[in-house]
Amino acid sequence: MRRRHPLQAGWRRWRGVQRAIRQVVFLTIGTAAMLAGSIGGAALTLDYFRAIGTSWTRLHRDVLTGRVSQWRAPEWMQGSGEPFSPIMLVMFSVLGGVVLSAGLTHWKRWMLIPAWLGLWNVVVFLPLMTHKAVVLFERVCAWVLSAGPVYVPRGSGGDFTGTYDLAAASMYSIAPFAFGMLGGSLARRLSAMNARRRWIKRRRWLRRRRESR
Amino acid sequence: MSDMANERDARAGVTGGGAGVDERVSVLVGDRLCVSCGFNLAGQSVVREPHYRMLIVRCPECATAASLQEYPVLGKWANRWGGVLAAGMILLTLLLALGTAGTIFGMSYAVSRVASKPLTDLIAKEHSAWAKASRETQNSSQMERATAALAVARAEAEAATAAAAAEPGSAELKARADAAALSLSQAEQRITTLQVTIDQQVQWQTYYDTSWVSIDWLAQQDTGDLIGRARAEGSKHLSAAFSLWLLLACIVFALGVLWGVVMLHARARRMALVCVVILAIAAVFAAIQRAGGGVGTTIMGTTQMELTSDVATRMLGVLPLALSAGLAALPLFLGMISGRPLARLYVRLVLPPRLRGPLATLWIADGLLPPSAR
Repeated sequence: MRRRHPLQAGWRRWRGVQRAIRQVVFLTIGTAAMLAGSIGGAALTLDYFRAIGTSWTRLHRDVLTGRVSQWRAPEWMQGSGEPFSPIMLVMFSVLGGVVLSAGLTHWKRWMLIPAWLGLWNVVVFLPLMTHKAVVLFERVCAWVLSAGPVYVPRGSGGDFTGTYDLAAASMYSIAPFAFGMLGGSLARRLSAMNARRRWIKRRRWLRRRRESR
Repeated sequence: MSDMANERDARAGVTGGGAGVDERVSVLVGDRLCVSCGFNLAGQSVVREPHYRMLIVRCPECATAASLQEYPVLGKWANRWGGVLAAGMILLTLLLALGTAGTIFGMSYAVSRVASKPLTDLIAKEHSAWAKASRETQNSSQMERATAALAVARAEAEAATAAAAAEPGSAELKARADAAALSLSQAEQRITTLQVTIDQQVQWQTYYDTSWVSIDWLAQQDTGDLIGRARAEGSKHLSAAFSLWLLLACIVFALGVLWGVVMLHARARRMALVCVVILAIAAVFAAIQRAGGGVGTTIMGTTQMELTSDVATRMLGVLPLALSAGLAALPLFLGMISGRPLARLYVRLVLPPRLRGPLATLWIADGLLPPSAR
């Protein structure tokens, strides 16, 4: 059995660790970037929807009742780029599907969709949860000090319609995300085929070298 | 067979001894075929067989033991590189400690600034009222003097004009009338200038009187009384300070997770010690910041002024800062404790089984079974 020099063995081990860390880091960054892009696209689209008199939460109702025909872009929006913001949502959702599907090969395919929805909604509901925590803290303070509410934060009434709208947008992102998953699977297959081709080539080269000795 | 994921762990296992059947010490990385059945042993656990205490990998298909061999390190470079890596690790840990302490200090300082906002507002209000009153007194006296001077100049001009009109041929009287008219015009100009200056002062006082505090005025104030009144107004910005502290807690927790992974073999007691060391470094930062205080002073006219927020923060002392930093030790410690379990969970989520082997140290460090490769 061929023995490797300890330095070489160490170097190979380090390469293995590096490969693992690289996947952890790049998958995290890639997912975060695609998620941020998708949510950003959904937020821009929400602005557009509000301008034309609808929203993500009302969208399905408008489509079902045929109110879509009444949508009119305001005059100030003529020639602006807002109508194209859904493209951003679609593009980043597709890329998100590609990244997650290609990276999380050990996951069940269908699990990726709830994971995407979960991540999306955690990000979207974070301000709401922080707000609730602050209000709770304030109430606890008031209770400890045996006084009335010491300070009512701005917007404590809870105008979180934007949050709910973006949460609804996550449902619409499923379709492009699933499409991206198909792309990711395809990319993985192509990559595996390529790796196999390279391995066969290397194996032949190794055999030739062994036989020539 | 030298492709162990963690040869160091294996070596430690050799010296450590210990009884037990098939003590697992590492995981095999790389493709190795079983000599008996040809099964790929990649991902199998490296175990210490109980009889001779030798390190082996057992084939899961035919149970044939494949031996592992340790090689003596003959060259000097392995030790040298080891030294360099150890020094790099120490440097990294030091930088991480400084970064964590800096984060805790910086954000706690921001929390203390927000917490001192009621006092800042009260000082700004009191100082603004005082500055406005004293300025009005000063301005009205200046205006009174200027108005009196204008009345005198006007009377003199009228008298000189009348005298020059009574004696039209007198060049001396005409010159006196011209001089009086010039004085009158200058007095009128002075009033106009004074009015403009007062208007400008009124415009600026809104900003300066609330943002900057006269040190002379401050010396006359009863600090305890100011703090008491600010407290009586209620903890107006407690929620804002808590929001900021929540952010600090989240960041510090994330840093704690990083610490938990960096200190692979540390247990809770050593982690608590590291928390104390980090808090001590943050305290040093705070001491340096306090020693270099008085940066926010300026001189306006003849008065030395200090930033209101600096004054309020200084009056409240170190308590808000110390409280925020002290409480930040909790999420830091929690992050350290949960660091490796969270890292293991994340590795399981993100990496396919075959890639987990190189990170088996995360499991072995806590005495757990290395992750399976399949």
